[in-house]
Amino acid sequence: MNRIKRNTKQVLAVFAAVFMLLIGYLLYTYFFQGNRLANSYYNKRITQKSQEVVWGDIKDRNGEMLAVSRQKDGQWVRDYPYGKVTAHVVGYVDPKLGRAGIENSQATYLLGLNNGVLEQAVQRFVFHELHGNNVILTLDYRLQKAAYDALGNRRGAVVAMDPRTGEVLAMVSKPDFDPNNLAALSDKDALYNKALQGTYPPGSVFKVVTLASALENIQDIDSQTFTCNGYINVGDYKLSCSGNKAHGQLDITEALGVSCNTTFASIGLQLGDKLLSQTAETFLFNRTFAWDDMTVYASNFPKEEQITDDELAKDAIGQGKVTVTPMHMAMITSAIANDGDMMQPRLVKAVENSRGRIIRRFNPKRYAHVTDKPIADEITDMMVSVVTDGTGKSARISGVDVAGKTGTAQAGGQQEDHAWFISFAPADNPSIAVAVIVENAGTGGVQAAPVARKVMKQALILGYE
Amino acid sequence: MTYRARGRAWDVLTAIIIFNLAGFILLAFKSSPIDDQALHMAIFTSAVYVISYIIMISFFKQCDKYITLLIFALSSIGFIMLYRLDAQTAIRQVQWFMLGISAFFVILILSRYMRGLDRYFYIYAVVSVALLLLPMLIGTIRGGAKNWIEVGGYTVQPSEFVKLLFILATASILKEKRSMKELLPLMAFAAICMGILVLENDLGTMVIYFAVFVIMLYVATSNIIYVLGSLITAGAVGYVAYLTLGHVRTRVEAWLNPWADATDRGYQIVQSLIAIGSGGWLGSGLGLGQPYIIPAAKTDFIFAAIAEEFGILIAVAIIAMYFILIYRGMKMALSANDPFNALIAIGAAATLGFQTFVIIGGVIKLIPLTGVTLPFVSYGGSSMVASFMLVGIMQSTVIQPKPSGEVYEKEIIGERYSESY
Repeated sequence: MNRIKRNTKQVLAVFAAVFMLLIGYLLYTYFFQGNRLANSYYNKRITQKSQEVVWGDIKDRNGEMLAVSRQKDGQWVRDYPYGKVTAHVVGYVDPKLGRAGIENSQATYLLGLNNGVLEQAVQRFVFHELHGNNVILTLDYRLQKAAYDALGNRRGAVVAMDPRTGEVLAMVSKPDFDPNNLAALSDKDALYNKALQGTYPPGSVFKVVTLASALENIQDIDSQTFTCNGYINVGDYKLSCSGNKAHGQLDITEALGVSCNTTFASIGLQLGDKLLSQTAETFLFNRTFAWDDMTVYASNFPKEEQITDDELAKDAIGQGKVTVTPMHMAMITSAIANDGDMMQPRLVKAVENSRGRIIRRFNPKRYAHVTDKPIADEITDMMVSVVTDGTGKSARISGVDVAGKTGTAQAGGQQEDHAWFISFAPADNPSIAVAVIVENAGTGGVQAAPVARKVMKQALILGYE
Repeated sequence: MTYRARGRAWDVLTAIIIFNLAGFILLAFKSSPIDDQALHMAIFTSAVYVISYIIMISFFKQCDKYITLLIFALSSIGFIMLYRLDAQTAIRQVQWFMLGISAFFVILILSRYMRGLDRYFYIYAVVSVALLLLPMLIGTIRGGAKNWIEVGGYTVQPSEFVKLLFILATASILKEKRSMKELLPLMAFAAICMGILVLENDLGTMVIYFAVFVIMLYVATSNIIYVLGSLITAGAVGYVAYLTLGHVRTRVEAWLNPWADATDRGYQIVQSLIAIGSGGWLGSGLGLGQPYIIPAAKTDFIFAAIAEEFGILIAVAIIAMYFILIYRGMKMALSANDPFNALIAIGAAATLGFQTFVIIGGVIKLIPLTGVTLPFVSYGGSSMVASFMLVGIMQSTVIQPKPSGEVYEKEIIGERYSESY
């Protein structure tokens, strides 16, 4: 009998553990996924609720209305005052196309699904109409417009964020669409937000990652001199500099300045696949970001066991199998600007109830520490010389130190190259970081850098400091 | 019983009654005109609780009244949720509850006169297998599992009731120290039961039988080799099942990534998770959510429906209540006077506990989903009555059979049991 009793206690202990696991997993699921689950596209509550609740407004950080519910012929309709300019960020609600953007990811707030019983009772019995909450974005419409205009009719994406807080100030994707007239939509591809979901070869903008890896892992990298003959042979593969130009003798700062492929390919070979892919993973490659206000597709850095040397050389200069999203590139740029701390990008600043009282505020969150401050500072200095003396001259702003890096990525086949530019300003105390891609447009310095410049300049004029 | 203890139990009952009344009154006033039926339900169910409780404390003083109170609390949440989803279902559930609690009292009364229940292993075994086989012969398929039979217009799930016999049979053998050879009939019996359940596609119930069997085997023998052997066998069988049986693989895949096929194979689990995510800490409020969106909200997924409208905190509280229920069940095993009774209490508590784990774990995607009921909460006559019967045999273990002769007296008080262990 005694043994039975002892064993019973053991069984009870196991049950206690199992039930704690149930409770723990339930809390975990709710705490970490609850919001995304509730806002899920498959949540039929949202469709049902939208028929009886007036959707809340979406505003930019200065109170500019980006989406409003208006009464039209006795019915509530959704209106997007800035239409195409904010289309991808704000998104849409459409019976045929479903939901997208903030209208999708913040639907529970916009519909007041998580309002308390008291709030619901007040609305039902005092106001006789159910209103959702208003969502206040981190976006600044004036910067959004600057980015939108700067990109013009070209295909591509722009992401601007405050590197210190991760607040997304502008996010543009082209081609765009008119959310006020979705019926006229001819090309469904326009719905797709390239800033978050477009994965492109980064080309030379990836060199900042290779550079970070080199500064971290190769002791004498600063004193090394490289000789560029305009190409490098890796096995049977001949990797050449842009226009086969021979850069001659140069150190690493100069190599970044002229974006010398030969030098960076040889640095990649010096590092080896292990270290380079380790740094890429530290910079959060191969990771899907699923946040409450946005989902960013995974950037890719090859994970194969053995990377051949020619592959490695291509990876080191951001070609080969490396791909990246514009948002991720903006995050990397911001991390360098922010002493190596990568902040979580955020689109939603706060939520207020229908009477204008703030009910939820979202604070900056450090997402990862990708490199140390001395390395970040050194990369910043080199990026400044890219803009002062190198390929990024067209991003210069008088009176302000701009740090930048150009990229001209082979798009494959006969297509024109993708033009990239990443930058932040002012270099010593950055208040804005920008990533720009212009698809099939040519060289980064010519096509993308001026776009970034316009956005940064507008930010500085507006007083972001 | 001290005054303080009596007071506390009555306080608990009062709290349950207030909850029960509040829930139904809220539902009554939600519709206009006021739903009289909900008010009737409020009064009727509360009266059933009070009367059952008075019977309990008057005639079965030795029994654990808190277990009964926990069942009231759980069933009350079930009634309210079912009424909110479909009034007729809730009314039928109350009928099943009354049948269940009657069966519970009958078992308690019988246990005063019954003795030597540990002598009939072969009878339990044969009846169990026969009952389990019934659905294969005259059964109907429901929810992909062929484990139902029709009796006089009602559908009955024999595997629910066989749980009882299974525990009795297992305890009958394990009550004494056995050699490996003596255990063989029991092993064969357990294997046959589980085999039949697999053939009937009733995987959830099969897993419960298996877990209860292993737990009882371990408690009785302290032999970790039996446990490991069983687990390894189960792992191997499970793996083979995964490779060969399409529906097992579907379930595992729906568990690993329900979002890959959110409108078809992952539909149930996705909708369940969305409901849990939509409710919030305090829930959307009774009648203010949309739990009817959840598939099988009245039966397998009632926990998700409760989480949506009552909130995560109540959902956590429900899990805690089930734990207290099995804790008190196991405590009865600790105070039982002989191994047979101890094993029965453990078996019954483990059955209820493991069943709760399997269904809640499935609904929150901790483990692959298998369709079993949440005891006392999910809608279902077989489940309700069988769960009450389990608690009945659990509680009966503390009732001393009335002595009916010298011989029996010696048998029960004698040294036989302590010697054998």
